[in-house]
Amino acid sequence: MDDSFQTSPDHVPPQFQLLDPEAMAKISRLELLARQTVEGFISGRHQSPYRGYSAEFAEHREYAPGDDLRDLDWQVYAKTDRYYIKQYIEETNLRATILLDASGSMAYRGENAAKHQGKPLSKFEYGRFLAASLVRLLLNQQDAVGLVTYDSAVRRYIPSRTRTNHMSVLLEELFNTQPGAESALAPVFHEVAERVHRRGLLIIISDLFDRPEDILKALHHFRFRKHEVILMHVMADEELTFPFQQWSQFRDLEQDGNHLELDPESLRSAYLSEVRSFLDKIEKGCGEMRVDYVPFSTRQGFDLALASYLAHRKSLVKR
Amino acid sequence: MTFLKMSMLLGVLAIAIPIIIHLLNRSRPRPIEWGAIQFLLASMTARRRRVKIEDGILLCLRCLALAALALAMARPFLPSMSAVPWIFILPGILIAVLLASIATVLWPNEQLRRRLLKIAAVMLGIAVLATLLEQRIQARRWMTAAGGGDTVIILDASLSMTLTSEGKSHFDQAIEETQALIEKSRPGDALSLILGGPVPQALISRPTSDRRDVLRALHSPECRPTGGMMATLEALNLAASLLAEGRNASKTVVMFTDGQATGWDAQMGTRWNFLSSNFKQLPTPPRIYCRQLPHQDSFRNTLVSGIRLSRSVIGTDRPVKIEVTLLNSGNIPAHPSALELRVDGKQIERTPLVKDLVPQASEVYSFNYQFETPGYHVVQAQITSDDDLLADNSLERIVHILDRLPVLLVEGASTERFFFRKTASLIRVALTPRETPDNKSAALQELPFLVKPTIVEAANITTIKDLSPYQVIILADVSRLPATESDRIAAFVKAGGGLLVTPGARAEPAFYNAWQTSAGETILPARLEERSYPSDPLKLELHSFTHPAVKLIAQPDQSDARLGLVSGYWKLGLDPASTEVRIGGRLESGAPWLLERHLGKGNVLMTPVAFDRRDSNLSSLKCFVPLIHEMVYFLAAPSLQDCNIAPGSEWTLSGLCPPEMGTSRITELATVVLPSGEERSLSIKQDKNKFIVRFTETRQPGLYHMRLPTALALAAGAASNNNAEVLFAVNNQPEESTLTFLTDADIAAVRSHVVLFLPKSLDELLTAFTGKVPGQELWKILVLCALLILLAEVVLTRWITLHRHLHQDNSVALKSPAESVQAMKAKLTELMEK
Repeated sequence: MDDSFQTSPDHVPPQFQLLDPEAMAKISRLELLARQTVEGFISGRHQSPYRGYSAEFAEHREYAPGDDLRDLDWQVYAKTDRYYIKQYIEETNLRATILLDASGSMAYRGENAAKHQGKPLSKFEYGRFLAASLVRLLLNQQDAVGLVTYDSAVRRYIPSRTRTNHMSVLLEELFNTQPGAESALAPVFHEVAERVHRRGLLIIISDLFDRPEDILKALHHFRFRKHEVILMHVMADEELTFPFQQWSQFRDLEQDGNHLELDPESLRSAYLSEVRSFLDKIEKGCGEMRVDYVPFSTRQGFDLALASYLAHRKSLVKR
Repeated sequence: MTFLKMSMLLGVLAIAIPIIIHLLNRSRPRPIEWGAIQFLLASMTARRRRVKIEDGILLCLRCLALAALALAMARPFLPSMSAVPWIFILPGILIAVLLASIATVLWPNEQLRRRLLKIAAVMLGIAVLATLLEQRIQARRWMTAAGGGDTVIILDASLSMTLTSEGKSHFDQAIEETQALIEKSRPGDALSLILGGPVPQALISRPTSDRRDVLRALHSPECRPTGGMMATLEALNLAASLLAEGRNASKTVVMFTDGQATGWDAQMGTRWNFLSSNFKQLPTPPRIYCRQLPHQDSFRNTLVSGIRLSRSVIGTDRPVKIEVTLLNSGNIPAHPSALELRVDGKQIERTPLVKDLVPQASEVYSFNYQFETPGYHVVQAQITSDDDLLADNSLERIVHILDRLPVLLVEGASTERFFFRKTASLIRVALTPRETPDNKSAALQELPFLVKPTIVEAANITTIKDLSPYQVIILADVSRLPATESDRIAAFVKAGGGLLVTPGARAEPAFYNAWQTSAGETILPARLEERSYPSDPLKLELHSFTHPAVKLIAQPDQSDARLGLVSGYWKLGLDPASTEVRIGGRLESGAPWLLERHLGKGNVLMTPVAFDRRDSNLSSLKCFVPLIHEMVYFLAAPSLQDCNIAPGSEWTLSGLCPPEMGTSRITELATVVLPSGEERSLSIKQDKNKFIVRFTETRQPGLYHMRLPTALALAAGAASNNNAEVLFAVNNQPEESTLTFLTDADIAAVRSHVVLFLPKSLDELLTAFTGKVPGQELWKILVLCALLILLAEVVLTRWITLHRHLHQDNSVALKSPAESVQAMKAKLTELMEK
């Protein structure tokens, strides 16, 4: 794989190492393109009826903790001694939320994966890079970006914002998250669907290791909430080829002590057939409910994969 | 079975290699941290069991192949007389290996694994113990004394040994193999040789260590097929007596035979018991090695199985019917072309044969022939047939043609005035019709009657000084006899003479019922109880006429016996316990009409009627003449010389010394010419007025000529123009011509009495004879098995590989837009340039 990432300079804060300069360079070259692309896949071309942040004032709202202090209307405070937040008519159409799977299975680090700092990327790292790139891309386009990390439950929910300093919040969150427990995607998706009220773009980054029927049901929930969904399915190359030969003990990354001893050779065809049928189910389900399904193999450098996806997306829009 | 290289059995441990590899593989699995457990679980539920079975079979095959190779290298050996069935050993080891492999496959299941390994260990243990036991038994069984042993070689010289196979007769092959055996014998071995014909003959009667003597005897002219069958038991008994003379402790009998069952009498346990007891008297019971020479499956043979003459008493007076029986004893249809009948070498008749004979079918051909001269004649029947066994295509029988048959008629009714009341006279007329008082025609006078009747009145019987010239005495309506006479007649019957008693009304029951021999044997077959005169005369119950003397007149289409009526007869009292009496015919009332008693060498016939007209009308019927003749012939038969004997039986010729010899002693010798042309001289014994010649060397089937002094020869019935020769024939047994071989049941029966080993080849025989264990090595089969198992392993491995990858890609392709990186780069560049 010649698309390995180079080490980032030392002075860069650690969370910003997720934005690998070279990788970001590749994507930033696409920024314009990406912008156009993003515009292309926003949920509607009309002005959004929702309130947001923009130059055009809309109304006042009482301050609530967590609101940016810059939005306080000091004049109103001076007059009434109360905190009011100025609300503006939303300018952007896009509110994106990235759902990053941090379950145990995402920790799988195949030998064949694209390398970062000389070390092959685990699925989670791959997904994290994807998420960081998307955060940067979307924020640069003045779009609102939120982040949900989850395993068997939602671990962290950061609502979408457009502020540029929001990037550091998100990147820090991404940086600090480590894959952990068992995954139960469907309940998490249902929960997220309930929590993200405003319709927008949901980018799910996951290996989707759950029952495909449940996942599809959860995706349907998103679609029911009128969300646009991009499903970025990250699989390790080994999971797709099952190249093992000698008698092996497969230890479950999600449940400690759960392991299987078997002869991989003898099981390969059955395993691959299971994987194939799983992928087919997911893809078919996505196609039926107009969810944009984007499979990623960790073998492919995420930058190039993402760029090519965006390019592909654009070509679709243009048509 | 055993192993020739026991140490190589350790090679079986090589099965540990695949087992250890298998276990090592499983004991140190490579750890892989894995996320997609759900797919593994899903695929395993479908595949795991099948994979386990496939892997198990593969491991079993590998272990079995190694075990088979190791076993082959240990050179398994199956002794010909295996004491421990091979099923306990070879399959035992292989099953143990199989169980060990299965236990390895099921390693995680500890309970089952332990159980399987235990069974495997037990089976292996049994196999090893069985092998050791077999080795011990075989070593003991085939051990020979170091110095040497006594061996009797029996060569089957029966007729069937002349059959050829591959251009060589069985006998020649037996000679060749015997020579090989003699050459293989050790210096200390003492050998003797028996020619096994109908009577075994020891060619070397004392075991000798000089091989040259044995070889000389083997190639001597005496050593040739004798014909007939081999009397196996006699040969073995002779062998036992020869072995008893040997000084070595180890005793062996080697037989070369075609394995024909005839002569073995395998199912006659008592005879074999006798042999076995003979064997037990030897220092060590001998082992019998019976080499069965290979024989052809198809056998074409027709033989003359018998020549039968319609009467036993034959004269020159009338023709006799000669019946020749042909038999196809082969197992394919035969078509003999002609049957030729010769008398004294002169062709009498030649019948072309047109019918095919199917296997085991027989056909009888009849010829009528009237002998012209008295004396001994050779009747020979010969078929022209192209078959495997030529010696039995011809059969010879000696027929003694009588010059005259003297019969003494004792007349009890001499006082009767009417001729028809004189029984003896009526009988004489029946015997010699020409001598009736009324008929003196010249033509009848010329008729050559065989029977020479002499009538004597009962009162004058004392005038007959010597009864021995007579062959039959008839007591016709005799009331009683003086005690001296009755004793003489009793002695006459015991010596082989015939007696016919026809008691009439005048008979005194007190005399007849008390008539006994000096030893207290009753003479008459039944007691005279009372006279009976039925109001209606009784007919003869012809269906009950089974006695050979009355069979002829019982034929309703040829005889008028049905018209016979009995108006007065004696009621007879029978002793139900007596076994020597038989009833030959009855009256319609059920009362016995003809009775026979066997007494000494002779026979007594009795009718409850005298043949005069007061008792019955029989004498006026046409059947009376044949009836009296048949009775006389029947009674005369025992006194006739039997000229056709079985091989090995004694031939005795006796006769009355001619009166002109007076009391002078016989000094001349008799000479017997054997079928082979050799001559034997015999002394002639004399007993009062009788001479007796005994000849025992009758083992060779064929025609024997006995030359006697002319006077004696004539007295013995030889014709004067016959070179004063008496002929007799030793006959082949027709069973010898039927090729039936020893069955497994026969061999098992024989083995229950003696130690019998049947080597399959000469090599095996020689191996056993030289004290090694005969048998066959099995390593080739095992190598073949190992190769087949390896082939199966390769095929199975290939099949499993193919099956596991069949129609399956080696990976799942993601339908990613980034499938082709280069293509994507190009596309991106293009887009950016726009």
